[in-house]
Amino acid sequence: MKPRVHGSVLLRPVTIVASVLLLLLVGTVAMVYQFRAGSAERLRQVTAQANTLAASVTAAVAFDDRTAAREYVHALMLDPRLDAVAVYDEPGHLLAGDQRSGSAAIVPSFGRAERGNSLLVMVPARQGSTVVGSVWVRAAATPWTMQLARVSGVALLTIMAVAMLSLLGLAQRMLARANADAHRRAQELTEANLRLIAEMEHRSRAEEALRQSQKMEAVGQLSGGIAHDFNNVLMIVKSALVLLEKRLTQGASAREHFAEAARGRLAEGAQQNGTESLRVLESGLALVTDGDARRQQIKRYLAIANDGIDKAADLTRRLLAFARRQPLSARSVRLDDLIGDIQPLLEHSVGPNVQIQYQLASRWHVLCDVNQMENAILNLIINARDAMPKGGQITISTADVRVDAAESPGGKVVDQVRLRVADTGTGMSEEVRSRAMDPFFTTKPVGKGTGLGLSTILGYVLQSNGRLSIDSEVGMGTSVDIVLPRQLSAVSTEFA
Amino acid sequence: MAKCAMAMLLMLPGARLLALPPQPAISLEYAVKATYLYKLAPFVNWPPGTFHSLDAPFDICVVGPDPFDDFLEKSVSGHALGTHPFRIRRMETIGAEDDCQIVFIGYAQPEKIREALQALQGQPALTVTDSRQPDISGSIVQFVVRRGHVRFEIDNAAAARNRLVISSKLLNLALAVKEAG
Repeated sequence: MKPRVHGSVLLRPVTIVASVLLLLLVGTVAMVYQFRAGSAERLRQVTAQANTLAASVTAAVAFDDRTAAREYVHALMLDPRLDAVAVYDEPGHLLAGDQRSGSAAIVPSFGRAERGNSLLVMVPARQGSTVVGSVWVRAAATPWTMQLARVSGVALLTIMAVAMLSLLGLAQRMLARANADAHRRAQELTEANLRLIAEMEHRSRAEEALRQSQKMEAVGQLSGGIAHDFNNVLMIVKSALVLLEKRLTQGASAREHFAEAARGRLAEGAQQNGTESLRVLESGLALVTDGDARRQQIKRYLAIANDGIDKAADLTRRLLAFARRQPLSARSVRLDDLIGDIQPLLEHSVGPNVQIQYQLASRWHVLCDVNQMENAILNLIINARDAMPKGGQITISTADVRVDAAESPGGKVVDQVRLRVADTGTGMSEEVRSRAMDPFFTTKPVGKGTGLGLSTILGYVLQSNGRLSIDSEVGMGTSVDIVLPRQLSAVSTEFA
Repeated sequence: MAKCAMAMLLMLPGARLLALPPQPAISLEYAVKATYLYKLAPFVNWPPGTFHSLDAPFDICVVGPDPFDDFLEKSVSGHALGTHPFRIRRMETIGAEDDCQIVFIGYAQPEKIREALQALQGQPALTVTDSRQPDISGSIVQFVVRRGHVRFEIDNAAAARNRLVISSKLLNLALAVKEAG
């Protein structure tokens, strides 16, 4: 932004400089004029003096009266400004002459001549129209103090005016500089303010993220702890149920045997007409048959209970995964190979309305649990599919990414492999996106999703030293990135 | 020879004239007097009607014996008073009808001088008498040799009688001025 020009046109530096120059020019012209005028005046004076002498000395010249001529010359020489005076007769002979000590005598030369600073004037001595001789008068050089004094008035005025203008210009310049300074400071302040605002936003985002992560940590710890203990309890219940089922089937063959024998006796007894013992046997058989029916019923209940226990176990497993407490069996693998292996499964999962496009360009290895990775990808694919009820396209891409030292948080070059699952679905609002990784958060209808899918993936990715991020816009689709560090050596490690 | 002498006269200070032999001194003296004669002209206010025409000559007349040799001719040669060139005339006697502006009376006899002066009385003529003549009053200018210099005395009353006004500059230079009354 151009600094504003303050003040009127008259106060612009260019105008002031021009004025100063003009003033100097005018002053110089005036001084030269005054000097010239002074010189002309001096010439007039000297000429007048010469004329006076010429007029009075004519008779002395004409009649060769040197005494009289000398008297006239001496009279004129009383003027201290005159340097030398000489009177010549008509043929050119010196009649009378005088000069100051140290000055040269006048030697007639043509007309008027100025040598150095002195002024030599010749006028003819005329009586009527008759020229009887000539008079020469030389004026002393005007002292420099006198010449200075002559022009001092104008010079002083000029100098003062120039000084005032310069002062004005200087003041104006200082003012402009101060203004520019103030302007610059204001700009700096604005910039600092903007930086501060940006920093505050950044900080509040960071705090939000910290809060979120702390929340997740707490939830993870809590749910992990609960899930762990709950799983133990489930195992006890399951063991008890297994034992119960075992007990239920115990003695089944004896009871079968007894029922067989009893049925045989009862058939024999029916031919001999009933006896008391036969009635007892009949009621015993009825009891056994009834007991079997009840056992069958209990078995069905046991199956339901086992099913519930399995579901609960699955839930606890997911919770443990989210809490990053699931056991992982990591090995070095290329994500491209991994995706290639599960490609048929993925195709099958999305159905005919959705196309999957593969852009696999990763050559580096990563260290991860293959089963969990497959699960995670499948989960993401299913999420994407669910976001596109009317069909669409899913793009699975991998890439090797090198983060420069300047941009990486650790200040070192970091190699990473990025897996991205992008869909063309409905997308998410910012509010939904920010909570998408929370456990038990789901936008699906009740019974359709557990709300643990993304949080499980998050737990797994974090446990694998990776990062998970979601980018989404309503109506434009969602893309989920899983970034894992590059694995240089092909070793396998157990995470716990 | 004469030319050379004249040049010497003009170059050398007048005081040296005394050191010269008598004859050359006398001729130098008259050379000076010859120049003085025509130089008197501009210092005199000539009355109107002095000249008949604009280019009428300014007549310098020598009455009686001429002591100037050819100095006069040489002196006035090329000179003029305004538009009036100087002319030298010589005559034995003079009268009003001669119409001379400057008249040098060369007679040695006092009565002849008086006669000439009488003849020019009232005429606009500047009468000049020589220093070697007897002291006859009545001429307007009388040459005097003082300390080797040719000087003059002026009779302003005589000038006034001839209706001539002599410049005060000339009067100042005169050794003596005789006023009217």
